[in-house]
Amino acid sequence: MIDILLALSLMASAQDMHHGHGDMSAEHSMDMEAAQSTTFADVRSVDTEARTALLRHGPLPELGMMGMVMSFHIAEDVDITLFEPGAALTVTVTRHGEDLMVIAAAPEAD
Amino acid sequence: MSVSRRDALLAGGLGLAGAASLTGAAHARTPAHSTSVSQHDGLAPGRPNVDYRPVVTPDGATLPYRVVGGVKVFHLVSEEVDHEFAPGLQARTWGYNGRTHGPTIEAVEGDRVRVYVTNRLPAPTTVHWHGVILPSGMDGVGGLSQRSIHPGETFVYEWTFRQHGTFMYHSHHDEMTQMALGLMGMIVVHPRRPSGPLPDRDYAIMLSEWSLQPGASRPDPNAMADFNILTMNARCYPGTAPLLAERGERVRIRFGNLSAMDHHPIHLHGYAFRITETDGGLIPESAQHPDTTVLVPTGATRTVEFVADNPGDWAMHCHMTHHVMNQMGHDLPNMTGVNARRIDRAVGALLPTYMTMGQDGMGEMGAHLEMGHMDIPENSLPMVGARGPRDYITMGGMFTILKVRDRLTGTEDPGWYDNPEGEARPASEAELSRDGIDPQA
Repeated sequence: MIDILLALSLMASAQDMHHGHGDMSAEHSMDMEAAQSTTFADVRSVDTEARTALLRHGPLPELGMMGMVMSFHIAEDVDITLFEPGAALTVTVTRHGEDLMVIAAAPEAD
Repeated sequence: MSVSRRDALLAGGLGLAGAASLTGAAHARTPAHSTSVSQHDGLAPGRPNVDYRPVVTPDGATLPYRVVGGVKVFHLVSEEVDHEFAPGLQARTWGYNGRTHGPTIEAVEGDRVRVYVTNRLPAPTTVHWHGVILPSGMDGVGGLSQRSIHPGETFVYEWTFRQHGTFMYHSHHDEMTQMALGLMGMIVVHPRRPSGPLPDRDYAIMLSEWSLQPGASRPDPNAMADFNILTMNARCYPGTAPLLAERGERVRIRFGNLSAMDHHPIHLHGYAFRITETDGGLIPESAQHPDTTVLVPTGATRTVEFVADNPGDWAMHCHMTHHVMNQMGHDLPNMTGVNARRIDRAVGALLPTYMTMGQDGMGEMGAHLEMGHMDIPENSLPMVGARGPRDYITMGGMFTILKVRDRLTGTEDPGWYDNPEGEARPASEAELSRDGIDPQA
């Protein structure tokens, strides 16, 4: 059979931030509004003007999200220079309306 | 066991001393297959909704017939079919009368039937009536009981059903190819004189398996072990239609299995049923046993019955876990427990959206696809399921749902069950404390 899963490419886009993760009811979503999760994130690309970054991130259980590759907003008070492609970070994420936003970031401890 | 009037008279003459040998002789003459009347010739054709309650073939159909001179006349046309296994997955298969699998042939014990078979395939074929007791020349084994039906030819088969039960039909010419491409269907023969409670819902489900590579348009008949589409009536979840029943109804489900290489243990949640019948005949009530899983060997039928007294949405599926997966779920490298972060970093530098999967299982693949995060080949299915009412259902393949409700509206899908008695949910701090459960311990 095929080894396609090893080579699968996850197609993250700006739209992802509007999709949510599809499995949350409105009620559940409201519960999640104030929730935040901290996890690892490898930076794949960054758009400093739009303050967005494509991250390969770990699970975000408090937000009901599995680990995946997707685009995040970067909060104004977060140092966007940390988001160099290839950088390994620890990020804290929360919901911001329908979007997801990184509200804290630091280089990952070795 | 039937004992004739002559046997009874003989027994009276011989007295008790001869009873043991008589019993042995009667056994020798008693056919294994099931009959409800002793005379099968000259009976009027059985009428649907009068002499029997028609069987339902989910996602399938029943073959129409006409009565000519007291004979039920059917016409099967073997041909190529554009078949959909589930939304997003189609293939050019072989079937009958525009369907894969072919429509269910339904009759009544004692019916005289005449079945015309027109071959519109590019290859010779025959039709074998699996499990049906009939004259040797009607058995449909190419080269043995008849010459094969060549492309463009129409053959005729004719016999009287001298039994009742659940049987199957399939090609018996180049079986490996023709059955792998879909040439099969169910046969249901109702008893002429039913005994016992009749089912309110009577379902027929053919189990089969296919090898269809992602992106391919034809099943591979040369596959011997690597089957990646497992189907009920040639549909795989999420393409399978649910079975419906109202609370308190008696439900009969007839399974047939013509998979190339696999048996299927079919498990029904929420119920214990009785296995009442094989394609050899009724199982005597004294030999029936309760069960929750019925093993349906390939080349056999099994019938189960139960009373639908437990409302809900109940999964019904093959319990071989690789049989409840769709394409791309088999024969992969084992990534379980692997820390793929270094691989992801290296590949991600070239393909920014890359992510290795499988370290924690494959249950999230379908969700990724649903969210548009992942490309898969055209005309292919993710290995697992579909969005359910409460989360993603991580099953595909040979899986369907029995929906039992207090009331139904015709054949309309009633939607998802509400679980009025509650359902599993996150435990509260108060509950954990009350019961002395420390998740961190």
